[in-house]
Amino acid sequence: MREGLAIWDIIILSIVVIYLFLPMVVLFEYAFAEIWYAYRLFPSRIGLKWFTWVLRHYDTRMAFIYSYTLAPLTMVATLALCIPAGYVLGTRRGKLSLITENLVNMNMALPVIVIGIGLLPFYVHLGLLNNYWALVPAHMIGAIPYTLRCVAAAFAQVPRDLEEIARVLGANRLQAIRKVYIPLTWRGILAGGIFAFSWSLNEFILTLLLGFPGVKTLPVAIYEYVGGYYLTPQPAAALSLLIVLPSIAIALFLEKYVQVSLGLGGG
Amino acid sequence: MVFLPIVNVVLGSFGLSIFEILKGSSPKITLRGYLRFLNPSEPYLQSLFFTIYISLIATAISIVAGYFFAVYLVMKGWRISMIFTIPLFTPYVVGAFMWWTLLYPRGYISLIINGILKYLGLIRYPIPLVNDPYGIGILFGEVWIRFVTAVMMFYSPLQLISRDLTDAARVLGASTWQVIRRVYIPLTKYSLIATSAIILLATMAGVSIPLILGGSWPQFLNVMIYLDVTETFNYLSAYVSGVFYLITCAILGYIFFRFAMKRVVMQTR
Repeated sequence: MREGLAIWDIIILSIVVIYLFLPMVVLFEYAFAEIWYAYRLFPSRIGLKWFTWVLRHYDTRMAFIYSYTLAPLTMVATLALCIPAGYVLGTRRGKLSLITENLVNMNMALPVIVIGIGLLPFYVHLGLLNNYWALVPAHMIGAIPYTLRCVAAAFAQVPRDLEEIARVLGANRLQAIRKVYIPLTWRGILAGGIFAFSWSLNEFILTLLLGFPGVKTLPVAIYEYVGGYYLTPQPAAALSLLIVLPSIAIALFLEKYVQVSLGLGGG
Repeated sequence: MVFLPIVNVVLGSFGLSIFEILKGSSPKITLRGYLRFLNPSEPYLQSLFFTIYISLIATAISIVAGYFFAVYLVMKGWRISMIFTIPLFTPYVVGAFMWWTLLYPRGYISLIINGILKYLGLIRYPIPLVNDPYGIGILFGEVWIRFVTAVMMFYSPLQLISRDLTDAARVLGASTWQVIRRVYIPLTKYSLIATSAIILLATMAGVSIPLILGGSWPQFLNVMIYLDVTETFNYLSAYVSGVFYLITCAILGYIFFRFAMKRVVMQTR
């Protein structure tokens, strides 16, 4: 900071901080409120009742398990696809690469709900509706553009000479990728993988269309508690913290160790 | 993975099924879905206008507030703290739920706003701020996320503007408003257009916030699509709405990429 805080600075920063963090404060309030009478402004008793409730309840426990197993599966599958694609896009700047890159970028502008209703008949036809494994490719659709950008950018930064030297010394292409590129691009690959993980963790509408009611992830379970006719905010708040806190931890990790900022809301 | 669903939506909007075409059965093209969509007595056009109207207001608020806050940060020479970006990595469903708890009749913001309005004698009964017909709840939820996106997207191009330019303007007697109008805005115009396009696109395309914070009527077009598919099984209308969404998003996406590229070219100069 270059100068001390003036009264206007304090007012502006206070408004912004209250605006951004009040919803988070209320989320904590609801998650920890064991007793909260309707006529009171604040909870009468706080505790961990709702956390134990959501972890003991079969549906919410399964939502937790589904979310935290689908996310790593999506991450691995997305990376398996994006590392070779990123290698080609990052190292060969031909016309085809540019077209592919633009098509992938276009994917970011497509509304997820439209992709979802377009996929639905295929899932019905192939008997994949409510199938846990079939949600992995659905989650990958949103994750691929971000992961591919990270991975391709990382590959593009490696000098081509290094690969050529490795090839001259007898390495085949796979060995060149494994021994030359991967050690130099691991930050980009890690960032891309975490993007895919985070995207899957937050993905909502495709899971709701293609997985519900057989496979419920945390965002869908939260929606069930707040979007239906019976509103039950306390378990929804506890579930929300189970997804928000790891997301914040991931973002802080990326910022600190990989120098990448994360911004994924998941539809 | 994306191409086939899009083809399916476009074909489906004309009453065609990709599976029937593959089977070789003779397709019957119909414009019934489009006629229904464009019929003013049906809910779709109203829903489209509501979507555009609310998205434009949310974008305008986010862009204006985000731009001025980014300028404020740059003028002060402050960096954006990681904590400030929390809305960006909060799932939209959770963000919408958090705002619901603040805006429902017993929520803090609802109590404060209705209390003030009642004290001033402007209302007799509390007004609904969430699941309301005016889209107030949607606006609160959208602006909360998009404001931070706007600040983040404006901050870097503003930061790249040489301080000599603003210092020179100050020496020549320019006020803060004149510095913003004559120095910052002209040098970040491409960034302004690109950011507006991407925020409008994101606001229009997001489902979670209108689904949780929106009212029973009017609804966002993407909520209509969701309900058409899951409740009334009216796939034809859902596909036609999907085509309108695709066209809108393609235009906004094109504007974003075009002006984002111009922004990069301008900054590298």
